[in-house]
Amino acid sequence: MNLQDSPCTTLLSDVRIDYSSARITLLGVPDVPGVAARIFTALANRGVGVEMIVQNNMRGGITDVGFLVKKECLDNAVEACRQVVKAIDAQGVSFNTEIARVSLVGENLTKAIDIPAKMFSTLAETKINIEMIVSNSYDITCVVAAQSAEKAATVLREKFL
Amino acid sequence: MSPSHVDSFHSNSSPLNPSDLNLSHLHSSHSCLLSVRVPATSANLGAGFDTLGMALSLYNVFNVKELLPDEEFSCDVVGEGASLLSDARSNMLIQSYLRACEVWGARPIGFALECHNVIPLCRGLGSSSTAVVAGVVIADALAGLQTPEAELLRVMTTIEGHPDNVAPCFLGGMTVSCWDGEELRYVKLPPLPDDMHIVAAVPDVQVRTSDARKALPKEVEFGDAVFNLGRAALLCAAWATSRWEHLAWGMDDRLHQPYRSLLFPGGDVIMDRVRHIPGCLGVAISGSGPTVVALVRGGPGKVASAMCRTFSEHGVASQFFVLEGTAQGTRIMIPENHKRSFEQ
Repeated sequence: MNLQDSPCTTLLSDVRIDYSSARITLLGVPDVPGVAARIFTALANRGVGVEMIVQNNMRGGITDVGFLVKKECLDNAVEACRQVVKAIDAQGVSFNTEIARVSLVGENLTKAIDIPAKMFSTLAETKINIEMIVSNSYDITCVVAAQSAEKAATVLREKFL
Repeated sequence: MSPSHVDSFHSNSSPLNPSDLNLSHLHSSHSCLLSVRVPATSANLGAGFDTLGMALSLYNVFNVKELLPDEEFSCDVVGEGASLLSDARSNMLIQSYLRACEVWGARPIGFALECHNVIPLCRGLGSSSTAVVAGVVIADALAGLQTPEAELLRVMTTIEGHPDNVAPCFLGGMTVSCWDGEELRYVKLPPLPDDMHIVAAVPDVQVRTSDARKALPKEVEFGDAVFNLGRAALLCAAWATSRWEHLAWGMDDRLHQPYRSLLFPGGDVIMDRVRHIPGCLGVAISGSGPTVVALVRGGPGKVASAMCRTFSEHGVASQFFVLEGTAQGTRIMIPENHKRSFEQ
């Protein structure tokens, strides 16, 4: 679909679902230099790749750090996080394996300023909660509950394709 | 308060070489007078109804930001309960603080409180106990009383009404505790091994305490009482001697879990499904539910995934945590300059 009202031509080609990831969140991480390096070094040392890293706004000197890992890496990821959380005195580790990435795929997406708003509004109208968001020029990905993924993909296809 | 519970901000006992990281501002802004770090707990563990409880490596952090005139308080809550707990007059920590001051005849110094809550409220993970314990240790610290551990626990139990959350919350690890309404007896069991995980599944369902109580029978069969006596004794003996192969039996129960697992969608299914996964040593309802905890040796991934899937299948949104049965209980951290002033 070409969005004629966008400042340059944007082509939306697909809506994809990916169930292969799990979300991990380190809770109450001290907001001091070196902590993020320590977390992701520990994960890398165990061969765990991460995606969609999100750090919340700091308040009172602490923050939450969330990211996705492949489900097959969950054991290694959890062990790495457990060690780091203990070392830096963070408040805990949470996880969720029942998530899905729902992606709107296309070209020049960063140039189409209205697409994110339309995508999120479409999901909101369907009462689908977005847990994480990442975007670049070729896709906008929302992490949603696995149970909602098919429904999310359906309404996005109806809206955009 | 026992020196074993008191740290300065400049000390750190981390086994992972913390020297490369400046942790001097940990959980505290520069103006923080003291910070209390308090663990979640899983009580009513298995056959140990009202008796056995375990501290978990999920912590609420309470900061005393500044002192205020006597009996004057402010409260800022970040995280769980932010919209419910910010009224200082009804905040359980402040109520516990005032109660402890009254018991000990201490001056009720007011303070500005900042709460960083990550323990879900009303889900069976001892969130309210963290407030009770923190309120009592803050009263002790601000008054400079250095109250013995047993007296602190007695006051905490009096406020809470039962000991099986506050005892592990304050002492850490797994505790066996008995309370006759006046006197408290307790024993702390040895820590779990490093490769033991506790996976906690917290469904987004509130089970009212009154419903959890109503679900229990008023009388129990003699055979069920004998069943639980044997299991509770086995659980304690297994824990004390590291005979972890007996945990599954020790976590079995006929007094509360069969009734309370029916109070939330997927409760009975998750208990049955998870216990059969290799590596799972035992599964139990935490507190009065609806949280379910599984003790897992080795990688927790399969148990974690099964718990997520089960609640998802029953249409219940949930939070999940991978924790350890922390040996460390409540810690009060005082900056060096304030530590000296509290000791004077």
